[in-house]
Amino acid sequence: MKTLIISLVLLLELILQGTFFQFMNIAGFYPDLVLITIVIIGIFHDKEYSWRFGLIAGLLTDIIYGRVLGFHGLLYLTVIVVVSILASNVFKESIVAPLLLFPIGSLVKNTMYYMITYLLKENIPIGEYLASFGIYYWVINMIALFAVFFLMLRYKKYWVVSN
Amino acid sequence: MKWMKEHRFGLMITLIMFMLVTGIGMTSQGRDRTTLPESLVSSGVSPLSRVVYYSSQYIHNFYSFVTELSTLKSRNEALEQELHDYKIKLTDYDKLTQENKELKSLLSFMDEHANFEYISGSIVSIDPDSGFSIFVINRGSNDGVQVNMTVVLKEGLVGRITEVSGGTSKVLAITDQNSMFNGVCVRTRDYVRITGDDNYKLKGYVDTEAKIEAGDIVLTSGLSGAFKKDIVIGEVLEVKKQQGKLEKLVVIEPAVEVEKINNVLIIK
Repeated sequence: MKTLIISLVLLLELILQGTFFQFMNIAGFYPDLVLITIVIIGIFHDKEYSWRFGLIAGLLTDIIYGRVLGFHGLLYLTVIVVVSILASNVFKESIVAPLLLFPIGSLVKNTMYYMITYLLKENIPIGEYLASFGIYYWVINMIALFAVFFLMLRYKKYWVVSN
Repeated sequence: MKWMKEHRFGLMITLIMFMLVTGIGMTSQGRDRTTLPESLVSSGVSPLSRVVYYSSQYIHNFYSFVTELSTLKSRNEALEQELHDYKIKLTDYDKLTQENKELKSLLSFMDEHANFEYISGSIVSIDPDSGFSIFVINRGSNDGVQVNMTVVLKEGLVGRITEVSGGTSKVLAITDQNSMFNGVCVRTRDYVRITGDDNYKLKGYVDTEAKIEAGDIVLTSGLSGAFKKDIVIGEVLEVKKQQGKLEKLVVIEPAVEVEKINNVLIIK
């Protein structure tokens, strides 16, 4: 049941990113809710449980928006496994954990994104790509990170599986 | 056996990653049809996406209207200036009308396109990673949509269908960098190799002998097979000579503002 709830939340966030945030954004920047949620799930669960959500979120992204099946699946699976491993010894209910791990998750996702698109011969100018991670990106995502983290913490019983 | 048990998680993740990489390899060149589970997910998500998309657009438009109220005075002044400019431009009107008539007769554009059969569709969502380069429409194989069908608007070419599910399809806009096709200049009949560029523009390449120049209209040539023939692609903004290269670079303004469309027509 908890797996289903998290999957539906990820699906809803994905729809919001492809619809709502295409109109409601600041200079084209909007929160990467799926990545934020993936990072928080990775913090609260061990890697043996959390990996499936990276895979689900990634495959849903590929099916709904992507051209290449498995592309985002690989990105989000790697992010959530890395975050789960790094978060295994941190105090999970402190905001410090997602504040430290979101930048790592973002770095892993976007580095892999750039590398795979490069290997697929879809050259994105590196300067242009780096420019999309300016101050707006971090401010907006950090605000969203606070909001999503405390919201998920409040409703922890509905989605955190006790080990 | 003990080793496998100890490293079960690592082995499982490696296996999944291998399968995902295989999936990437198999689908990186595009596919004609999606699988049934993918089709079900796409079709299931499409109605909700559509509701959220149009609600968000409505809220966005309303919000823009409210916030623009305070700037009405300055906008009014700007519009008056614009009106003044238009009055000056009006003197060229007759010349342009004549030119327009000539172009229309040259193309017989409307007559030729009356033969096409269309499927109308609406955008339900946009790829969050690449913006309007790829968007999803609410028409799929159930409506007769097939891969590589040409997507247009009255103004001109929008893109082509790259993937079809039961109730939805993905459209690759002509402004995407992966979009490559051939065009032909109406006035000079020069062939132009066109691809997408940044900022929703197109860039084309022509021989150095080509007589194409700014203001020329470019149509689809029908040679590449992906697009129907004689659909307006856009207007040439500038032609640049490239040092040390055997081709000239042509910057083209697409006839369709891809980032502002809501509904599209698919040519059967």
